Amino acid sequence: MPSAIQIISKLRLMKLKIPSIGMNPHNYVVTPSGSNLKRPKSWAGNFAVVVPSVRGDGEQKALRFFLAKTPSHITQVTSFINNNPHVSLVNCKMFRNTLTMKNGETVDMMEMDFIDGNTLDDFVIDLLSKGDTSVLVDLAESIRYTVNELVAAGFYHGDLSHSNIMVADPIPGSSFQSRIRLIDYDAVLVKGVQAPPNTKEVGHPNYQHPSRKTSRFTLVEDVYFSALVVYVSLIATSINPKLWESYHSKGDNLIFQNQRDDLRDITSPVWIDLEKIQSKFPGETGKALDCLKKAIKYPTLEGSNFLSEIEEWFSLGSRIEPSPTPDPLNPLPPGPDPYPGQEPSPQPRPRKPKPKPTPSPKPTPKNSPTPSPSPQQRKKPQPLGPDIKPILNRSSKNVHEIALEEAQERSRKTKSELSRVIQKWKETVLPSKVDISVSTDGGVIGGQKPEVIRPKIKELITKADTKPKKRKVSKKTKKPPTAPVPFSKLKDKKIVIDGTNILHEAGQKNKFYLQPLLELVEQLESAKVESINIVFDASTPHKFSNEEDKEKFNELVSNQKERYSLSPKATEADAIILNIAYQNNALIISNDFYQDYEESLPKEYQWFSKSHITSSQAMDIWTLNTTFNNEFLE
Amino acid sequence: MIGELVERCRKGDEISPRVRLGFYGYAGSEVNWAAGKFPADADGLVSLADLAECDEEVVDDENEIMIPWVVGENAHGGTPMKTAFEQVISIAENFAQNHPDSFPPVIVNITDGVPTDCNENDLATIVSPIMNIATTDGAALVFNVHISPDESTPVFLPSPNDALPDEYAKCLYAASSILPESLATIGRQQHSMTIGEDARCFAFNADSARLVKLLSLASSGGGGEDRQA
Repeated sequence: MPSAIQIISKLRLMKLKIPSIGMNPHNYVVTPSGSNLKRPKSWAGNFAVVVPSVRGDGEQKALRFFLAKTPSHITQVTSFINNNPHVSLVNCKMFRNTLTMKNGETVDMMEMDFIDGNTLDDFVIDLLSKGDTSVLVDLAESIRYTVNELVAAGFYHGDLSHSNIMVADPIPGSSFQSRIRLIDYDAVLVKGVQAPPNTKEVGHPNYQHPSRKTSRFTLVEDVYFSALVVYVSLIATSINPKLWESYHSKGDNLIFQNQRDDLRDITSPVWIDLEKIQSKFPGETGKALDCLKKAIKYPTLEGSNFLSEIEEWFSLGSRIEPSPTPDPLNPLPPGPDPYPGQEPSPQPRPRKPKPKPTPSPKPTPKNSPTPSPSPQQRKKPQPLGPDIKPILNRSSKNVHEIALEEAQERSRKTKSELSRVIQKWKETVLPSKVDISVSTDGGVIGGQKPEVIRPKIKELITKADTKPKKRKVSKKTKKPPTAPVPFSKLKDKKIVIDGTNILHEAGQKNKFYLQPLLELVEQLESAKVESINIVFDASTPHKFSNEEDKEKFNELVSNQKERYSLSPKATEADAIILNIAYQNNALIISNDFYQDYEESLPKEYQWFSKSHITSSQAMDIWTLNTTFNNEFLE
Repeated sequence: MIGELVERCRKGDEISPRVRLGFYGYAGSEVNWAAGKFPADADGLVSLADLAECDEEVVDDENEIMIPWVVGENAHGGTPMKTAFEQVISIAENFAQNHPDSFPPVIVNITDGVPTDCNENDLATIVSPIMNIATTDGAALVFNVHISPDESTPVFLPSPNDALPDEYAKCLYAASSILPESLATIGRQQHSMTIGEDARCFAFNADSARLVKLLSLASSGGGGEDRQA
């Protein structure tokens, strides 16, 4: 894996210009540092170096180069974002092998929309320097809403922190919430991911419950715990900005710090100071404080009451409006329980992902101070769901009345949306306790493991190798008309893949990379195909671009024999593929047309001609097509 | 290694002041501050933000890396390793006392020679006080990096039964900390490094960038950690 200095040096040697390469039609000019025009401006974390750039078409883009292994599920995350656009998610695309180091090592790049704005901590520092603490409540609420919306949509950001939440510069007329951006998707889990991500990212320690482990997925509990840490920090700072002075250390935290045991022990100094202002938490925000306190006492979040506690208010409750100036002399009383004596299951607003927003805020000069929205702007009704009226006057006694009415109205429904979301999530994503060490067998989590066709290769050879011919990977000139095949149409179908052909299709300069093939398999699994069988030429292992892929390939072939088969030396994989497909009524994915077998294997060829799917990969996305006919689609 | 640390701490046009380093060179019979243009502060350390100002660079063509030229070469005469260790012990002790919540000090001893002011077999005893220094985040670590023109197979984080090139390597190995399990896990999982059980912080002719990778991950999230080289 490359080091940060290798990447920066490489960009300098390229004179900050990244040419169009591979599947990426764009070129980029990397933005130079303010102090040295020859080197890029850069941000580094543990897993990536990020540089701002201007793309060939003039768009500002942030480019992220991975220092550690590129998380295996990143393509699923990017495609989730493309299919479920949300104002707080940043559009991103993966491009493999963008930089090639001197030692031949390649580096993947993720292109992301550039955000003009500040990281959460810098934004808070800016507010405090202006003495403007009133925005903090709105900020906290906006983050709460954003997290709730994304959880409902199936996006679980596993690393919420001061540096991964950004506040974009304001666009006149838009809500405060629309300025929240979440970045860094290394620890993200999205709905529908079948195979466990290989990322061992466990999130920033100053935001995670001590029980968070590397050996499992991000859980909805993790998302809510870190969101609570952020939320309570912001509300507490709005009440007493001195907390920030005492407990914030620049670039490292908001007010809670793992090293001080703040997330293990509720008697640490910051907690003692929080106790003192507990009664001043406005409206229901005090419940967030209680909830965090309880969560810290649980040895593990998973399986605890944490989720039901979160549900009591944090994930559902109505919006707290900012008070223009906190009044320490006359704090809002903690207030009666807005849902006295009734089932605490108000429905959340079912919030559909918003239509895609304008991709990136207008570039503004970097040095311009971040203006805060005027009080008028802040007073604008937030985009609440259809069944919630904005509570504009928090000091009015009607607040709780309104909340009560809403709750009563909603209480007719028996099951809360959140419970459903969580339940669904557990069913679809995490049917079993997820510990990667125990549940990776076969790489399938969730749903039934597809039945596997076991090819009897030896039997097949005797039948098939009558006339070994030279493999022809190139497509034939006479190409019948094609029609696209949606993955969903492959549900319950048996699939045979010409593995070597697919590796060739996704490879570069006759060098193979394993990842694209695995992505195709993942996509097929997501589509719930009945079985997948992949057959490779004997020479395949020698064609991988690097040792790591070759090793992984050999592991697959020896450990998952039921799915991955290497054809014996000096035999044609093609004949085996045709035979397996014919005998099992399976569809064949290959870009080869097998015309050499029309005479030697007529029945098999006939089956093939009804069952052929071609594949192509662009921008890391696989697209399938039919060739001869598409009967099987009906 | 310094260059990698600088790049890792860059946040836009700023350098996050998370790391301080000390550079002590030992040659002849003396131990001296080795980063000429960058003076040490009262603690005997220099901030990474200052080092980032370094405008002298050398280009390592073989690896296409531009390395900031902070420490000049100054090899002559003896190798007073014992004196050097003793001096660095006091700096590390002082640091740990003043920054008890910080990432613990890390001492990286880079040498191409055999100590001239002590018996090489005594090195383990000489460094042992360093291993008693700790912060709330763990014990101080001693990495020994031996560079040699010898063409023996490079060794990186060897375990007790791994082969070492010679007797002197065994002495340096004995004077190296046991790699904490947390670091070993990071190395294995994030960087596909092969690290055995009870591996020690010792490298022989190995790529020092690998060491930085371990350290920068290890210190993530910790505030104001310091390191010494």
